[in-house]
Amino acid sequence: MTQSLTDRQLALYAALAISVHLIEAGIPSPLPGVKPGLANVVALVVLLRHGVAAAAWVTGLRVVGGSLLLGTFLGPSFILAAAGGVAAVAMLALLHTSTGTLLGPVGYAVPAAIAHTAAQLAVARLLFIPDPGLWQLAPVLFAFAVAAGITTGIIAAGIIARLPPRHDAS
Amino acid sequence: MLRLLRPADFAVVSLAVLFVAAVAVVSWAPRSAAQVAELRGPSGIQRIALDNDGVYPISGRLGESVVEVKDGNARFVDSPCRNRVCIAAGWLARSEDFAACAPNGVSMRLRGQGQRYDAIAH
Amino acid sequence: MTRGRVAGAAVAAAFVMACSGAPEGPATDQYPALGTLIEVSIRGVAPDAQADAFRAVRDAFAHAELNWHAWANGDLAVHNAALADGRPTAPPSDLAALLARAEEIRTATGGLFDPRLGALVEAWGFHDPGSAPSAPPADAIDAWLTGTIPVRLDLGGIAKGAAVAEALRRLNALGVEHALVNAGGDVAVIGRADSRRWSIGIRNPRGVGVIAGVELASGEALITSGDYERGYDLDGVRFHHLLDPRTGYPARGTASVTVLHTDPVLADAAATALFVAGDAWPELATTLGIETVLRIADDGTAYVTDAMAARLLPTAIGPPLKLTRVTPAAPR
Repeated sequence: MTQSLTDRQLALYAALAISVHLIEAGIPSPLPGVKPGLANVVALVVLLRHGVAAAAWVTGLRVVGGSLLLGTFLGPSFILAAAGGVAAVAMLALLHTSTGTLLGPVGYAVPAAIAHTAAQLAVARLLFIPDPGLWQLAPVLFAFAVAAGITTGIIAAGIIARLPPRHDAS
Repeated sequence: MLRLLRPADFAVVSLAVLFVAAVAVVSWAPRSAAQVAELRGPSGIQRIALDNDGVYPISGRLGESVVEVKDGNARFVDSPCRNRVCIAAGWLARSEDFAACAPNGVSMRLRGQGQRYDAIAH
Repeated sequence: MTRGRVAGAAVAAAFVMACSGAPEGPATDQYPALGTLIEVSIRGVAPDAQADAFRAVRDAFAHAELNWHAWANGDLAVHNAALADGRPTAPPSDLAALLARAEEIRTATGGLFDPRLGALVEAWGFHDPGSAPSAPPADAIDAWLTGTIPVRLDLGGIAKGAAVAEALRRLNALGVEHALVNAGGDVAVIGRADSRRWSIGIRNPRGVGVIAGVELASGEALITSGDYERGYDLDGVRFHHLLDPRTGYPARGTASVTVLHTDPVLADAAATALFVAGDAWPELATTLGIETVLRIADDGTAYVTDAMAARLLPTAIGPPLKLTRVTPAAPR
């Protein structure tokens, strides 16, 4: 049901994802490095069209490429971005295999954004800021995540509607 | 081909909102006038009574962040990070108010007096 | 996994999180005993088991008040009466053990902690909160110093610590994992307050409020002896219950001593002895193996050992505590 992805398409998706990643880096957050995960919009589109493996590839390339461009490679921001990306893709994969065609883009994007933020918060708490006060920021960050998930889901739906239909679509 | 929102999407969004509400309830803490600023860095915790006006450095992974205490409030005034979000957080005034500079690994949390002691040694 | 189950699990998780986040304050009990206010806090105990736990602690303090108090009608009073008459006496095992411990600490402190001060305490009137002589009891002091007054044992400097220790033992035996017992400045804890440790404020001996706080780990005791606890003023001079066995008069130079140790009995006796020792307290602390001490001198100066300095949390009430670090000599 998914279409295999050529290297060229993969590179295009990754470049798109990196652009969103760079834009998102400029959005302020109460906790630097912890983001609602807007860049997952590309992973979501790729997932729905090309499957989990392709979405993981795009996310990996985004995290590495984005942090290289931002100059944060292997720094705290990179680790947080990687944790968020892994968690988001894992959530997307879980929903993809467990719910079939039940969910639309918004149904995928909201849990992915929450997973993204939860992982980043946990990593920030474990590695960078061992302060119990950090949890005070959790409601705000998760509220951002839900809003961002709804937004990215709607955008993803729009993108998918405008993309050429899949060749193997039934 | 794709309806924007399917019924299951509504269910997921509702659950997500419920989740955020649950997190808000869990992390809610009673707030009172703050008395002490707890500064945490890689080298440990430093506590400053908020009636001790002054400027306090705290060393982190990248360098020194600086906290200013004035009139019972505290804020970050300098930090060697790029976004300086901790400084943008402004004055912290109430107990459990929190600000952090993640890249530098330092954070500040205000603590109140009321809930601090379980017993007084008379 | 079915969708229904996924949704059900998510809702359940949300509810569990919401409930576990509700602040579970400790259950508390308060009553007078041993001439002071007893405060007991327990946490993590089912509501139907709380009464039993509080009852066990009340029993422990009632036992101490009756049997370890020299001016009650219990075991120690019987023992003292026998001593006064020169009759042989065999106190019950708990009192015998406590007397042996008191004698051991008396020897270790070179007599600065002395359980044999009972007659002198009585002459000063400190055994009775209502009494206040119009002048120092000069005759009784002379008799004490020359050893012509009959010995009357008083466990006042150790009984509260022992009672607190016994209370925690009983709670522990009942399966209580988190508890704080405060007998008017003799505080000991097991477990934690919740996500944090039990937190104790140390009273300012020369004013209102708290001068510093300490967070106690499970099994630690924080014991304070202060000149404000019991005593009276005669012509503007403060006479308090912490008597110096060398002079027969209240010890001078100290306002309060706070000791942190895992043994409430030793900490209680040590706080008294270090109070009496005055400026010589660091040497005595070393001798006793007590590392964590805060002494507020009569002039308000705060002296701390390095170990105590590392434990004190500043408080925002009143001026900041200016600490004078004292590093006791290493034990030989």
